[in-house]
Amino acid sequence: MHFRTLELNVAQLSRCIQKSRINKYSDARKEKYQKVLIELFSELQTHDYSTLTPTQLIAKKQIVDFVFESIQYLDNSTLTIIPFEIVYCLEQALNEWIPGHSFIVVTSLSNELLSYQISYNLTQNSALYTLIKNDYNKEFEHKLIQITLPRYYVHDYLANVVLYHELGHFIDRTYKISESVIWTEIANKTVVYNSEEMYRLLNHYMEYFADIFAAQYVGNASNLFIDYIAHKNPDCFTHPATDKRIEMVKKFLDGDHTVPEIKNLKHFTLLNTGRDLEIKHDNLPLDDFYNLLPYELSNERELHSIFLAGWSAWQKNPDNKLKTDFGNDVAYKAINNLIEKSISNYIVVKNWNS
Amino acid sequence: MYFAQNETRNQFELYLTFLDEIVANNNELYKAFFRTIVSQAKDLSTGVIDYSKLSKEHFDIIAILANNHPDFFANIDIDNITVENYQQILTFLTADVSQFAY
Repeated sequence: MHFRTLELNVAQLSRCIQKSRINKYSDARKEKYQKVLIELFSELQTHDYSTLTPTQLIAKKQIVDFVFESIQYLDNSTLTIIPFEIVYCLEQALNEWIPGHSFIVVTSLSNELLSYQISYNLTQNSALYTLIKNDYNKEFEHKLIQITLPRYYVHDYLANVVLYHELGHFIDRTYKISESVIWTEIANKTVVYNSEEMYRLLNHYMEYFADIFAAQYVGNASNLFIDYIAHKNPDCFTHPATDKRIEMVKKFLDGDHTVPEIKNLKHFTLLNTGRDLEIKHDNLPLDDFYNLLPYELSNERELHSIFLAGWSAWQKNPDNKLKTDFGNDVAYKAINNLIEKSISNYIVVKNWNS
Repeated sequence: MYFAQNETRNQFELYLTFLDEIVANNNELYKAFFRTIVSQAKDLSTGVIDYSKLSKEHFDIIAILANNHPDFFANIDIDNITVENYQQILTFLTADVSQFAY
């Protein structure tokens, strides 16, 4: 890596930073994060990179990448873009699994229709924060959890149940649940370290965990969407076959925990987090949807349940009164808006009472 | 959605940087950073702890070092980690990273 290329990257970053300085956020934590980020960038601008060793250049590049990534996600988390209601729901689940955390959920929009993902680099590379502290004496009080979702689904509450799956990946990576399973298999000599089988098994366990994690909150709603977007996909290196994933969630929801994958994941989830994988939703009655009324959600369990209720209201046939009375387009918009309104009302009431 | 191999590699690149700095300049901040890693690699190698008890922050590097070099970590003196020890860990980790299959 040539130091001049790194200096070019810093100059390119300068242009992004200039545009982002005027960002406004509803969350004071993001304002503070951006302030420290700009201070860090000022230090990067004045650094002499010509004297660095190749290893040091690679390390500096990681800091530049960190600033770039942070700006990318902060830019998409300003007042007018962020899907506030869905992020709120994810934050409640996050608070439950990592109480007292210092994360901020931010979002990035993708032009790819099915681009749902979560990036861990800004939360789990503790070495990076130590490097920043050592080299520039800068500390970030919070870390960004970056969730990417498709631009066209940003306000779609039916499709965005997939975000619970992505949050599941984050919880898994934070607590090293799937990794604990795999390393135990390595210690028991049932899997060879660094083999293709090891990585494949790890990837599959991570997908099962994320599916089950989501199912706790949204029931089989995530399954319904995955069955559509990844219908009959076979096993591959990164994912189990879709049918296997659906079956695993069904067994979890039915209380059948004898399957080795569910047993192992429940075991290490409890050991590593102190919490159990269990049902955390109810089957809400659908009358309010059919009467075009938002739900009066009473607690967090009902909050998460609204997504499954929305899917159930859409799926039910011939009982789908919205569809028969109004047609698909109106039914979809009505369900979507009612989910959003239900969550929004819950937030208002909760804040009013606190 | 994917196992974050790129992010793991990023993390390991920095571990190597820190070890370089410890060996070259006796960097105390990085030595403090590595203390938990070395201590838990020892405990894992000797069976004092299992994977559920590992630092989640440094899980990957501890698991890999203990798995690949159990004798070294089982015998290391935690209260007196020498520059030579760090140099050896740097050599180990450089080889381990180069062997990441995916």
